[in-house]
Amino acid sequence: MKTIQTLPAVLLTLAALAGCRSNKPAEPEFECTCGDAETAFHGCLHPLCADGKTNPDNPKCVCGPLEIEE
Amino acid sequence: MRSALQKLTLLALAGAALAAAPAEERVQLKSGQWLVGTAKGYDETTKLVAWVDESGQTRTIHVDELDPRSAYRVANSRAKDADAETLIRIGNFARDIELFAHAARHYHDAVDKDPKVQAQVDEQVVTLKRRAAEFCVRNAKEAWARGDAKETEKWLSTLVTKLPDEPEAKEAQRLLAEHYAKTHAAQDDEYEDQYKNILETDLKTGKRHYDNMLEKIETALTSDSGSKSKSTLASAYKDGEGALKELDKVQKKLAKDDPSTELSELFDGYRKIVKDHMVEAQLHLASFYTASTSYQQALKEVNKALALDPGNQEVLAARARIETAASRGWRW
Repeated sequence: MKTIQTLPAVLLTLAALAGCRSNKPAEPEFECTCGDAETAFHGCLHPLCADGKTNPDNPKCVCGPLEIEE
Repeated sequence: MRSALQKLTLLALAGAALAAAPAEERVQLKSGQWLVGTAKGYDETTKLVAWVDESGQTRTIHVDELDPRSAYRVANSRAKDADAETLIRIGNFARDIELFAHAARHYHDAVDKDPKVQAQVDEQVVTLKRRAAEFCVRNAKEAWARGDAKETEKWLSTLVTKLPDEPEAKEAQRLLAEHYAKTHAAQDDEYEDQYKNILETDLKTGKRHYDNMLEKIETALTSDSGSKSKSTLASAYKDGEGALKELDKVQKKLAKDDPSTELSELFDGYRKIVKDHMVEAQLHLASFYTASTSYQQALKEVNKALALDPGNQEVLAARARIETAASRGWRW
């Protein structure tokens, strides 16, 4: 029971820590450019694409395999 | 409290069920129509995909009915546990539909899986380069036809720096020389007309550095020797530094008598033009180094460009690509 009571406090602390600013320079955020000629040549830098996954927000993205339930 | 715990358990179970469920997929038919649903199976022999649409209706789709990009995703679904031969086949499929970076990744994975296929992959990479060179030329021509000089230059220089041994690279060098003669000279015409006096007097040295820089960028991209191209681009960057130094010096001198914002804007404008070309030189240089797998040197050059223009998306993207190439060893 005590564990459950302290859960909100732990979650809040974690949230606060996650919100802390790091001294590390922010990594650039790349949009999904799948479908562009340049991307076909060089590859897409969007994090999902770089991970070999399909970006659901870009219908032209083919970075991930078709998921097949077998 | 108990009911809260029950709710949490239910939520966790629902989450787990969702995670286990196959994602809703979208595939496109050759007709252009999109199908939304779930792929229930794929038979490689018959090339049939078992598909359940959103309303629960089942149908089979032959891979040949699919748009090539969707068909590639079906082929790619076999990549995870595939042997080297299959990976090469998937790579060839990607290459033939002009997904060159995808093809390079599959070829790399094939060699990773079985180093004995290296010679076979090398053979396919020859075709990959041929197709990629044709692709660059086509894109350059299309960009030229719609009057997009920057895009034309981008594709021609990509061809020259990344695929220098392809026959199209020679033609690209010739076109680049013509292109530079027209566009680079025109870029500072406005300033040249408006501020002729300053350029012929105080900024004479700076202008000389700037002109040398442009000439060297052109020479580097139209040279037959990779090492000459690299040293010429490095020298072009130094000329750019010289031009910036002169701009600082002359602005300081002139500002004593003319503290106007117009003067300040003029010099800012000049600085931007000089820096843009320095960034361009560095990107070409980084591209030459990447093509010869000197990734550390390529990163060094691209970081110099980033120091000049920290938010430049083109430079940031180039850096990310070099880092990927360096860490994963994809090369073609």
